[in-house]
Amino acid sequence: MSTTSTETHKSSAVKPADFDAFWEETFSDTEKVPIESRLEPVTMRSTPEVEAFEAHYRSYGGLEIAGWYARPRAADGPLPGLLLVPGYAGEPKFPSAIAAMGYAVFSAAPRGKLRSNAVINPGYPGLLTHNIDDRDTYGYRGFYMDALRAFDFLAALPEVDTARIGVRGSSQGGALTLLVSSLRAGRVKAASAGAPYLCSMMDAASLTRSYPYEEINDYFRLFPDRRERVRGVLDYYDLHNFVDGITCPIIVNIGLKDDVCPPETGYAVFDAIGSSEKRLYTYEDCAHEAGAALGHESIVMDFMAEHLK
Amino acid sequence: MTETPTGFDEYWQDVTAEVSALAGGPVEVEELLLRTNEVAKAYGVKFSGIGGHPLFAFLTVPRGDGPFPALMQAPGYGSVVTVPGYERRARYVVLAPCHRGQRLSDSRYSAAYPGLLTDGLPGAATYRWREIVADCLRSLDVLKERPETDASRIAVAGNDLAAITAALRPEVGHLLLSGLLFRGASTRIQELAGYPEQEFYDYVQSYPEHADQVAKTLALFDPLAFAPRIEAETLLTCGEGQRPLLAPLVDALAGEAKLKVNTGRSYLDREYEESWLAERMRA
Repeated sequence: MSTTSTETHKSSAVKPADFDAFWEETFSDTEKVPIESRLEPVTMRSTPEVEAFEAHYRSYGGLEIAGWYARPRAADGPLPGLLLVPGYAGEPKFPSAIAAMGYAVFSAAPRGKLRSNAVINPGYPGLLTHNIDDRDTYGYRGFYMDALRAFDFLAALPEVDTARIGVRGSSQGGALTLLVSSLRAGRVKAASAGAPYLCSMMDAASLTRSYPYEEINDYFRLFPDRRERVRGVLDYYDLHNFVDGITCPIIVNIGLKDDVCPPETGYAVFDAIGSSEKRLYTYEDCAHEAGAALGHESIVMDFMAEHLK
Repeated sequence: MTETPTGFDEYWQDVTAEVSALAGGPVEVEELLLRTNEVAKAYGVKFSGIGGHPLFAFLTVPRGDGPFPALMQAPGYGSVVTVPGYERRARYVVLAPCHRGQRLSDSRYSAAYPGLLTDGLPGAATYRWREIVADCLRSLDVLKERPETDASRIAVAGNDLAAITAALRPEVGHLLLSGLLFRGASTRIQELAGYPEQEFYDYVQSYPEHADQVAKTLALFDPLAFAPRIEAETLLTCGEGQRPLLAPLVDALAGEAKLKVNTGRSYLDREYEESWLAERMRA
């Protein structure tokens, strides 16, 4: 993997002419679905310091989406909110440890994750190429809306201070962090995106043989004639085409030996982020965990505290 | 000297016997054309675990003339088992089983996260991980019986499930261990913070009357109790903070063993592990 600067890592993603119209239509369709938020206490995961809940809301297509919500019991006034968006294959983290730090935390499980997979369940591998040759039914269309609605769910909770909400995640969670930060610009106060996935997707697939991007290589091996059609679809979903809308303070971390989300794509998307207050952390000899074992978690939580508390 | 938990031998003899009864059972193998590539063919493998539970595993076989060294990737803690990685596929026959409750092996039962670590507690007989260990043993048997497998070169990689498999299947020659969940858990339940291990703490907080029984059950799964039976040459990797917990395990292993503290630079740490394994498997 290369370790040079953003200057040498341009994305081949191209924003389609009707990109905004496509997403406006998607937002409109989503808004027609009443969110129907509800919380159910999870006694076993609650502690004297933290109340834990299973959360549900409705999203694009009317699907019910799940998540975990946790908040500190002792709070003077509104709480800062933190949205956690999940990685590709794993289940959303249970957020009680972060709630104990004083945040109202929502850890979302977009469609396909356990508890949100009754209707759509493409699996892993599977999600990345689910209807990948059709812009309108590609699996990430609803998935992106689920992440956006997760923010709306958190922001609507009465104990959450809507002026102090952050978003964080790594890998696919890094991608969704970029997405929500852009599409809820002005409402997201701070963001942290680790090893962001779904950036320069076609370039990434050509740079790695590791899953999940390997799903795209697998797909082209079977359907070589669909390459340009797929490229056209992915241009609607590539985070590279969203991030110019980000305005909040944001930090990004990448591993310079990341074989899952190649650092070239991380550099390129960082360069395209619209915010003037952005910082890139690069970690030599690190793969996809991108510095997690070298203290980056503390950097993220210090950053969130600086902007949200 | 490692202290053996009460009832340890009988408990695992019963599990081993149940798995042995599955020998020769049907194993359905179907090529996954979407996942076959230039270095390896990929297959989906279906077979039954104890209780007739349907299980799925990914199997990859290097292109070329075998037999090949074989690697079982014991399932990690999480809902998803994915296709083995490119480099391993090129070197080994790789079996990546999904234990019951994980995706693709969840037609009868779907595991919860969090929740799986305490499913079936407090009793040892009903603890879900008894069946999960059995799924791993059955998977190892399936791998061993594949015609592409060089039975003299079998390795297992993963967490506690890998360690227990190596202990109960002496044909495992090499063991790559990391991310242990059960080491010392039975005596440290009140200290366990951070998921997934915090599940044990949550359970005992909710059911304090079962605390003693939970501790006894978890002790049956502690890799330390299996250590005298693990003859496989072993590399155990961990973070610096885990060294005090894991050093006694390495000392107790029957075979040659090394404890490697990770640098935190995951590319270097992974390269070390993969090189260690490849050198020993002559792959």
